[in-house]
Amino acid sequence: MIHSPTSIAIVEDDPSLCKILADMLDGNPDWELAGIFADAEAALLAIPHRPPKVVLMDIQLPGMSGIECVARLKETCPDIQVMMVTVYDNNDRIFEALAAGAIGYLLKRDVPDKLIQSLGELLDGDSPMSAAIARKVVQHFRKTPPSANQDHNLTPRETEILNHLVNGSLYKEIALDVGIGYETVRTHLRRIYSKLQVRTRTEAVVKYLGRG
Amino acid sequence: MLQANRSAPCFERLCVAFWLVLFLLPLQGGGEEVRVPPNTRDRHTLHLWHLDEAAPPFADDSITPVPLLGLLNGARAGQASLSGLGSAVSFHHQVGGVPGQSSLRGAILLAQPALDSGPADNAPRGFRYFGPDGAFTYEAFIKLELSPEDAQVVALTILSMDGEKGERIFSFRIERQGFLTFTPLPDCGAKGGAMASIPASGPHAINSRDWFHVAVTYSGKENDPDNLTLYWTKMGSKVSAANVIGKGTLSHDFNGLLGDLAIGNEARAHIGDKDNATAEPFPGLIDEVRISSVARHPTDFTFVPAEKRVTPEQVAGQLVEPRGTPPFALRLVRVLVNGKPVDTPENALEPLTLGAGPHRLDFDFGPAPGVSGSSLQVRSQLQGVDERWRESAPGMSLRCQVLDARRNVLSETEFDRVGTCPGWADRVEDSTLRPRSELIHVPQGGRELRVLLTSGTPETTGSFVIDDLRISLPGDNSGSLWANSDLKTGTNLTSPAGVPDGWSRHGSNPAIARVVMYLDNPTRLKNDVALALVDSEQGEYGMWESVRKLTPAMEKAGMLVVSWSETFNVIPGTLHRASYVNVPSGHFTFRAIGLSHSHGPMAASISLPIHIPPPFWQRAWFWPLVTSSVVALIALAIYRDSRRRARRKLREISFQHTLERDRTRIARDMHDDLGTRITVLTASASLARHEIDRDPERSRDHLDTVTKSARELVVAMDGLVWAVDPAHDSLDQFASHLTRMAEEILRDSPIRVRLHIPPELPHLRLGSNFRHNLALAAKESLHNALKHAGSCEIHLSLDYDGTRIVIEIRDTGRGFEASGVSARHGLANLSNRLADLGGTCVITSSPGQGTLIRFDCPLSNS
Repeated sequence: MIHSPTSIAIVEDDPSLCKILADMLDGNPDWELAGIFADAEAALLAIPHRPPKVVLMDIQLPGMSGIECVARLKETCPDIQVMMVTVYDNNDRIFEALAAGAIGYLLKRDVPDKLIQSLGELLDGDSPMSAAIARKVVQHFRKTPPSANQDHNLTPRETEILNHLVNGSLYKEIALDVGIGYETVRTHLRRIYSKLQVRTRTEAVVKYLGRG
Repeated sequence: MLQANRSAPCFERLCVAFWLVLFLLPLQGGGEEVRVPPNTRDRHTLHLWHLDEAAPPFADDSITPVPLLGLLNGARAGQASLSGLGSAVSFHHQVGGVPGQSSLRGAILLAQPALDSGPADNAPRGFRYFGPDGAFTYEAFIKLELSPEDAQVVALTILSMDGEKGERIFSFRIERQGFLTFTPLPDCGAKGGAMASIPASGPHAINSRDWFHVAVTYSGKENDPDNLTLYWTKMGSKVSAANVIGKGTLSHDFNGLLGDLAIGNEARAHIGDKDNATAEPFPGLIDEVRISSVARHPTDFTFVPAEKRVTPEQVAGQLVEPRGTPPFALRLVRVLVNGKPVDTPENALEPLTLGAGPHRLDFDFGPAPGVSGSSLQVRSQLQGVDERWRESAPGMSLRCQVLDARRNVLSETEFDRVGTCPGWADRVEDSTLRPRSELIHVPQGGRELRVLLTSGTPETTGSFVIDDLRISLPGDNSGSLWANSDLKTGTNLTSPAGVPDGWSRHGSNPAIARVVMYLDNPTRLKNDVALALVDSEQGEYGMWESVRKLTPAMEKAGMLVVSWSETFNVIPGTLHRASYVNVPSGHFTFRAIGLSHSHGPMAASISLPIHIPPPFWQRAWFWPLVTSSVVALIALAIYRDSRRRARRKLREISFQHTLERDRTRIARDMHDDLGTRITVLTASASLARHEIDRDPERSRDHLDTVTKSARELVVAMDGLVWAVDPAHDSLDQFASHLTRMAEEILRDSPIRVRLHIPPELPHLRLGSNFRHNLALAAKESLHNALKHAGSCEIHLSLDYDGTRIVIEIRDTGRGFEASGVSARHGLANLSNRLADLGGTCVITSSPGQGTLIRFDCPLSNS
C-alpha cells in the first residue's frame, strides 16, 4: 500500500491482551498506534483531542462500558470508526455496540488470525454482519415503529438483503441472487448500519447516559 | 600385642590369637566388638579419605585424588575409631560464636587450607563428585557424642559442598529433630531431596555408644521417582547389607558446579546473623569418607564381607535397560474409607460398594513405577461430587471446606505446598513465616467452615507450619471471625503434643500434627504458638482439623478472605491424594488423568466406580411404601383436599430432583469438555517449552495444538456459559444461538449453510437443560455433516408450531447406509439426548442422497 499508516487507538483493560494487540499493530507498517487506554474514561478524555482514524474497543470495561464509550465518542468525533473486541459471541451486546455506532466487531479468540484482516476490511468500507446479528437487526426494525423521516426506514431492497443474510448467505451470493453488484451489497449494508445507528442513537444515548 | 610383636613369628601368631580371644571374650557379653576393614579403592572410587593422618594433608586414596588440607576451628584428628578403620576426626569443638546459632565457629575439615568468603575455599577445579551418568554414593562412618536434639548446633553436617552465592551444591546431614537428610542446594541444578527418620528403636536405633554407617545413593536416573536412597546402619557383627531408612527424588543430575567441600561441617560466609557459617559441626567422630561414581548396591559397603557384596559391575550386568520407554500408566494405589484402606474390585467395571454413608474417601494414585513424577501433570475428579477436575500436586496442603447443614462438603479450596518456602531456615522454630491471603467461595447453604492442614500422601515428607489464621469478610479488616485465631488458648501448648482449642489431630500418625511454641525467633512473639506438620516418615500422614460455624454475615457474603502465615519445606512423594469428606449415598466415579511429558506427550487415566447405598429409610422401596401407606391412610381418614396437597408436595420434590439432575448433567459436560481441553492445552504448552531448543519443528506443532485447544476451549466455554445463563432462557435466544453455532462450525469450511429460522419467534421459556441438550444434539449433527458429508450444502431449519419444536439438519452430501453400525451408534447418542427431553430423533439417509436429521421435541407448558 502506498498510503501512510492509519492511526489507531486501543481501549482494553486486560494488560496481556492489550500488549498482544499493541504488538500486532506495532509490527505492521499499515498501522500507527495512537494511544492505549485501560478504561473508557481515560479514552474519552484523550481521544477527542487527537482523534485517530480507528479505535479498537473492548465491550467489557471496568467502569463505563465499551458500548457507552462508543456512543459518547461518536457524539464528539463522528468520523471515528470503532471496531469492538469481545470475549463472548453475545448477540445482544454486539448488536447494542453496533447500534451505538461501532462499525465492526471481532471476537477475542479471532484476534491472532483475523485482527489485521478485519481492520483492513473495515477501512475498505466493509461492514461485517453475521446471520445472528442480521437477525437482531431485522427484529429491531420490526419492533420499533417506522420513523417519520422516510430516510431512516429500510428500503425494500435493504430488507431483502437483510433477509438473505439472516439465511446465512454470503455477500457474493446475495449479489447473485438479488442481481446487483458486490459493491452495491456493501453499500446497502453500510446504509443499513447507519440507519440502525441514527434510529438507535437517541435511544442508545438515553439508555447509556441515563445509567450514570 | 606389642609384647607379642617382639617374639618369634610362630609364637607371635599363637599369642595374637590368644590375646584376641582374651580381648573379645568379655566384650562379647557386654557389647559387640566390631571390626570393619577399610575401603579399598576400586574404579568407582572418586574419593576416599581414610582420615588416619594425625594432621593435614589427609590423603585421598582414589582414582582422582584430592587431599584435604584444612583441619580448622578445633577439629581433632587421630581419635580412636571403629576397630579396623585406623583413626577418626572429632568435630565436637568450636573456637567462637554462640552455640546453637549461626555465628558458631565450629570444627571443620576443608579441602582447602583456609576458609574464605569467596571462591578461594572451593573444592579444586576438576573435583568430581558424581559419575558419568550423574550417579553417586556419599558415605561415612560416624559416632555421635550427643543426641542430635541436645547438640548446640544448627544441624549436624556429615559431608557438604556449600558456600557463598553460586557455590551451594549439597548437604548431607542429620537434623536436630532426628532426621537424616540429603538436600540439593540452590546452585546444583537439581531439586528435590531425601529425608528420613533415624530409627529410635530396633536394631539400628540411634545412640552415642555405637558407630553407624550413613550413606546416600543417587541412581543417576533423573526420570525415576525415588532415585535417592538413604541408609543408616549400626555397625554390628551380623550386618549383611546397609539398612535403608528412606527414599527421595532428585529432579536432575548435578550440574557439576563446585562449592566449599567440607567434612563435619559446612563452610559458608558468615554475614551478620543471616547466614550459617560453620555452625553445623558434627558433635562426634567421622571416619572413612567415600565418594563413589555409582549408586552402590546395599551390600557394596566395606562392612559387608567382600564375598557377599554385589559390585557395580554385577549390578550393571543384571540391569537390562528396557527397550524404548515404558508405557506410561497411572495406578490407583489405595483407597481409604474413613481412614482405613479397602480392597478395590479386581474387575475394573465393578463398582466399589461401601456401607451406607456418608464416608470420608481418600484416593492415592500416581504414575506406575518408572515414570518421572517431575514431568507429570495429574488431575482428578470424583464425578458426582466435584464440579470440576482438580489439579493435584503431591504435597502438603491447607484446605478450606464449606459444609452444609448436614456437613456435606459444598465446596473445597485447596492450597498445595511443595518445595521450600522462602524464609525456611532448616528448623521450624527458626523459619520466618510469610503472610498469605486467599479468597474462598461460600456457596449458598453453607453453614460451617472446615479448615484442614494435611501432610498429603503418606510418601510426602517435610514440614508445614501455619499461624495467624484469620477468616474475615472481604473489605473488613477489623479482625478475625475465627475464634482462637492466635492459638492462645488450649491444653499443654508448651509441648509439641499440645492441642489448641477448636483443633483436633488426625491421620495414620497423628503425632505428625504438632504444636510449635516460639521462644527465640526474632520474627515471632515469645511464646507464640503455631500449628505444624512435621512428617519425616514415608508411609504415614497426619493432619490438623478445625470446624467452625459460619456467622449469618459470612453466609451472606458469599466470599471469605482467609489469611495466614506459613513456612514449609515439603518433599513430595510420587503419589497424589484426592480427599473427599462426607461423601453421601449415590453412584460416583473416581477418575484421574495424567499427562507425562518426559518422552513426548503420553496420557493415561484410571477410573473407579463407587456405589454408596442410602440408609434403609432412603432406599427406593422405603418411601413408596411409607408414602403409599400414608396416602392410603389419608384416603381413608382425611379429605381429598389433603391428598391433593400431598401430591403437590411430591411434584415439588420431583421438580427439585430434576433441577439437580440438570445441574449435574451440565456440570459433567463441563468437566469432560473443559477439563480435558485445559489439560491438553497446558500439557502442549509445556511440551513446546520443553522442546523449543531441541526440536523447534515439534515445538511449533505443540504450539499449534495450544492455539487449537485454546480456541476450542473458548467455544466450549461460550456454549456452556450460554447454556447456564438464565438470560438466555427463551426460544428466540436459542434460535440465535443455533445460527451463531452453525456459522462458527462451518465458517472455515467449503460447506455452505442455509438457515431457515423464523426471524421472530414467540416468547417461550426454555430451561437450561433443554437448551443445552438440544444445542448439543444440533452441534453433533453439524459436526458429523462437516466430517462425513463432503462438499455440500447444509440446510438448518427450526420450526415451532405452538406445541413442538422441530429442528431439521439436512445436507446434500454423500449420505450413508442408514442401517450401518456407525449410523445406529450415532443415532443412539442423539436419540438418548432427545429422549431425555421427551422428544425423538430420526435420521434418514442413503448413499448419494444426503442425510436428514430431524429432532422433534414436544414443549409442555409447564
